[in-house]
Amino acid sequence: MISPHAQEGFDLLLIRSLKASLPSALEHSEIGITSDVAGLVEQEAVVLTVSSYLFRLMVMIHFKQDATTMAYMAGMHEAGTEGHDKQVFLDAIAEYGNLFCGILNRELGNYFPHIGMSTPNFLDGHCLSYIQMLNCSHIQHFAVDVDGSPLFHVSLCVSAYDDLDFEVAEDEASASTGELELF
Amino acid sequence: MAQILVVDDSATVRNEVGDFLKKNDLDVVLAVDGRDGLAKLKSDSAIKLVISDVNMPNMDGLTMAEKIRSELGNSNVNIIMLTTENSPMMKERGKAAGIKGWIVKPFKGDAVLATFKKLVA
Repeated sequence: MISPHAQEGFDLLLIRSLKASLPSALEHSEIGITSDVAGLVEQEAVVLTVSSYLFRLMVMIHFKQDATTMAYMAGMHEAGTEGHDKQVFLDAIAEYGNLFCGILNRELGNYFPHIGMSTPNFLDGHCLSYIQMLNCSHIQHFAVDVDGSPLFHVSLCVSAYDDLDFEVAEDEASASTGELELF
Repeated sequence: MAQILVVDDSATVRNEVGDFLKKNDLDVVLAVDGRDGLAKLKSDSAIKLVISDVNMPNMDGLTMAEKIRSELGNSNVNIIMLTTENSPMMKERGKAAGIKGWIVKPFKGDAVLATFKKLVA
């Protein structure tokens, strides 16, 4: 069983990771919990998992291959006009998933030291219909809007192997990134 | 001219890092995973710095670092990991393999360029 505190903690860390993974130059974004997933228009999803011996969580980033999303990803990775190429776009969104889930993995590592993350995989968007069959202890969906328009949705599914309880402080800061730590 | 080997299974990261280094007058070789990186390093003695991801198919970055030292017997090349991972256990394994440093993604070129240039000088 996952305690209410732990469920809130997973949600909070996921939102924090999403915010940290969106580039500061494109910061006009809003991330909110949504239950309205029946009408999702995204056709594909990037899927990553984070596992410990106490739980396994799956993150699905539901995205569209439309001009807005492609332009956003191209801008994020400074891909220029290449961002309109389909394979470049898919690689960019997979790397975005890797980056975002990597932040979540590091945040969770503060509470669960023995933790590991998968590489990104693609799933057909229709797989969302079968998510309940995973019998997860906690499922939450998030809408990510940029400049007032929906960019993508994210689903979080957590399966616990034992009772799980931890509490996340709302004002904890994320670790710094991009700096070279010399040994 | 000294070369920098960039190893990552993501083309996005390879291009982002590679393009940044080229724009700053550094010579770059790209590899798609640890196995490819090892082969490139074997055949190119001008490589002085390896910047590598950790989690990759076929061969991960830490295994590649260990093989650079043990199989290639190359103790001179500098190795820096560029990864989303930040676990102390992985860093310890990297240190044991003689890696020089660790960068948590995303890549911020301006923050590390001066050090990269020193390492290939």
